[in-house]
Amino acid sequence: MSGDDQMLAPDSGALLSVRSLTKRFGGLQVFSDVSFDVERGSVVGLIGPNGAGKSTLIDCISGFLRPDVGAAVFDGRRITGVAPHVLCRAGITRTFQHAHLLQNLSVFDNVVVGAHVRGTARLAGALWRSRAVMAEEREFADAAMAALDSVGCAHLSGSPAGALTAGQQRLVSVARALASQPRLLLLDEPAAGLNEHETGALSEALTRLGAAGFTLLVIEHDVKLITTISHRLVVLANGGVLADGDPVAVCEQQAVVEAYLGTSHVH
Amino acid sequence: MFTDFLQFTAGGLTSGAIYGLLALGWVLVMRVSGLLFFLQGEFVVVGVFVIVTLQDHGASIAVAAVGAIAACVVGALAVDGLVIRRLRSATPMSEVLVLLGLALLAGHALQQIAGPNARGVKPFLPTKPVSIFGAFVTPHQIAAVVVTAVATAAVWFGVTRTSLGRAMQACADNPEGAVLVGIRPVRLRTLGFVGAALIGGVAAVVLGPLAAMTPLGGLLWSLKGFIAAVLARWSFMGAVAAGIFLGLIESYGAGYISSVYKDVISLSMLVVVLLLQGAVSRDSIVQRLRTRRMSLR
Amino acid sequence: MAAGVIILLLPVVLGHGVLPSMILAGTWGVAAVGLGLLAGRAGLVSLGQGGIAAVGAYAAAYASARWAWPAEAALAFGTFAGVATAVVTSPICRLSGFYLATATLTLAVIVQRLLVAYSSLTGGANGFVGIRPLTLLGFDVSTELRFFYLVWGIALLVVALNVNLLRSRFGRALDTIHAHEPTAAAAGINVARHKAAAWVISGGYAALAGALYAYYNQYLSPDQFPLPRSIELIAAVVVGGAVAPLGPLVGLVALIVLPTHLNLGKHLTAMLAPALLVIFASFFPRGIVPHVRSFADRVLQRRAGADA
Repeated sequence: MSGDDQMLAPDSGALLSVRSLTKRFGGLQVFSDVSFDVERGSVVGLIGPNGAGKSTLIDCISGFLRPDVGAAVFDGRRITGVAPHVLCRAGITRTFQHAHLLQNLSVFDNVVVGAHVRGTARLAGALWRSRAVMAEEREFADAAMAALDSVGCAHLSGSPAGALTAGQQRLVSVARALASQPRLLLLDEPAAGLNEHETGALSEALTRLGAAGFTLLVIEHDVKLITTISHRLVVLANGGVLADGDPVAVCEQQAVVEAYLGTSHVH
Repeated sequence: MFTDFLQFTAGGLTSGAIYGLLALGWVLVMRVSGLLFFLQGEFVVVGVFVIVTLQDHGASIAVAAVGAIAACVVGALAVDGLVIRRLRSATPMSEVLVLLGLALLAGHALQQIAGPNARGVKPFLPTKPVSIFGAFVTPHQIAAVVVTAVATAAVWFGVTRTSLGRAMQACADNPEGAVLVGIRPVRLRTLGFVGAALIGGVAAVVLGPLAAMTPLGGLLWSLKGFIAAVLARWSFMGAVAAGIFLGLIESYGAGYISSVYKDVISLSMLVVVLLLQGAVSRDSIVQRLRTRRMSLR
Repeated sequence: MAAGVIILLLPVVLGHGVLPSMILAGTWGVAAVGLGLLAGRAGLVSLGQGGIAAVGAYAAAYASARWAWPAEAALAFGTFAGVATAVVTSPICRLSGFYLATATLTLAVIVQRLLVAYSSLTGGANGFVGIRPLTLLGFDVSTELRFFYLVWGIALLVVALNVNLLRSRFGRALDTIHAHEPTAAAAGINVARHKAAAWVISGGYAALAGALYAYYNQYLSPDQFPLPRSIELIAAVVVGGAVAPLGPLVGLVALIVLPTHLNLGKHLTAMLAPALLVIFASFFPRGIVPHVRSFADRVLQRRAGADA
């Protein structure tokens, strides 16, 4: 399948189709021929040992890197090689391993940025605070509060972001991504560095999102968390897809356990 | 026609050698401490003025040269100890603004002390031009090229063969890791400044007889050195080659197009090269430059 | 806005001796506020605003002196020339921190060299004379007092516009870009376009400032700016406060008004901007305004505490 086609017929009804994705950095092959689907309304977990290229894969899908071979198709349209902000408009957004919140602004101010992508009022109107601009600001505010609510952080909206714990900041960054009303949300190690309590809160929030019908692709190291929230698990190791299927079954596969040798969080 | 070309080449090689020296200083400081060393040109200018002053008082060239180099080293230590070490905010951008500000202050202070006129060092080698392949070069020009070659070799040797040099490389690539291994980034930064000052002083000695310097001209020399460093992607060997390349381009441009545009050509090259280079670079130094927070506060 | 009223009343309070320096502060304040937007909020530290201001100044001067255009048209032309320059050079804002700073510094030097080179157009090193006195919309604005109110009116208007702009989607986008570009991109912000917009906007302000300066000074020379002005402007932003809207104005007042009244010589005056830049970047990176504000807050709190 040539990666140059603009429109690829959806061959599986999946929201996101990754096909034969290959990425090299100089002489180093990160992964090759990676293919998997993400069905509408499902939560797919992406796991694998350190250095397997999970973040690189997400970067390729979210427009930050261009794969060398292969393509990703979102809702029938090719998205690899498209700029991140365009993808956000199309309904794909992602989080990063650090929350990168503006520390001296309030949580609300941080999250409302995510809602901007849905705005259409003319920018010049901002200079004199035109009616259209002010109305839009109210809509942004509503979207932001709804997003904060869905991760359970609505009560923090007025606090300065710097006063939050790492776990709370992470949840806020998820809210910021949600504020753009995405159809596909990519999460890059949301539980990294969180303590047990915070991981629990995160797990709850993600489960709620999954139940509400959001489509999520989540990279995680915490295998316990990921098996709890995911409908399906994809294992990336040794430069390719090692396993793909039901979380419990995948984790029991010998090959997967071996790939994780020395880091067995399984069960 | 051809002799013109040779003459331009000779001139370009000479100025290119100096640019290469300056670029060496920039690369040294950048690799060791990640800072933009706007002071590089000031060392050259101050060095020249020290030589001139000492010569006016009857000192021999040897004494004057040593004096100039010593002055530069003292200046570098002062900047490092009194200013950089005290920086409280320490975002990389504010450090660089401080260096830029200091460079301008040095230039103005020098003008206050020594007046606005350009000064040149009295020639200390025989001035009769020698003919090489048909182009006329003065012994001073040859000295400039030779000294640059020697300096480059010395720097290359120091950085790749001595443990100190390897420590500097390690520090540049990974400051946190370097600390764990016992290397002290602060100490290395001081050494980097001193090294750059030495280079500046030496450049003053070879450049003084060739070109007159105005007190405020330091910044332009600094910029030329920076351009060469960027062209060389911050490698030591490349720095000298890039400097020579820059000198040649300038010389041909001035000779064949118009001398008025001499500076514009090399300065524009910087902008063009940066824009072209701006895209993807895996070089660790360039990468570090791009990922550090460059805010004012 | 209380600060604005205070400023406008200053000549009354302090007498007309303070006018020339305050006029300069107001004129360049327009450019400084633009740089505050660019460098303070968007994080694009530009050392080349003086270059764009020079373009604006010379363009306006040329229109006024050689083509005898009325002031309104000349000022507009100057601003337009600056904006055009900014648009043409906008790819520069894609560069990251250090490279942006040096590239813009280089731009300023290039502009200065070009001004000297094209002496037939610009009067070269000898300078440019012949700018008409300023009359706007029929008003004669050539007296110092009137000029003072004009430039400070413009400066405060620019600050007000900036405040609105920064509180909007655009301002928040700039803040996010400043914090972490990938996050901004993932949130749907077209980073390149926003940076270019900030660049062009601040370029426009710089050009307007330059054009106004041409009318005030009635004489332009390639050495007055671009480089010293660029340094002065970035120093003003650092000294006054990069983030607060009024910060750059405060910084500029400190930089321009102080030396005139301390009667420093020509060279010491030239040294003041770099010196303050060094001092503030080293020890007070947040600038004057935030410190004053927190000081005022503490005083008010103590007062409130005493009352309670």
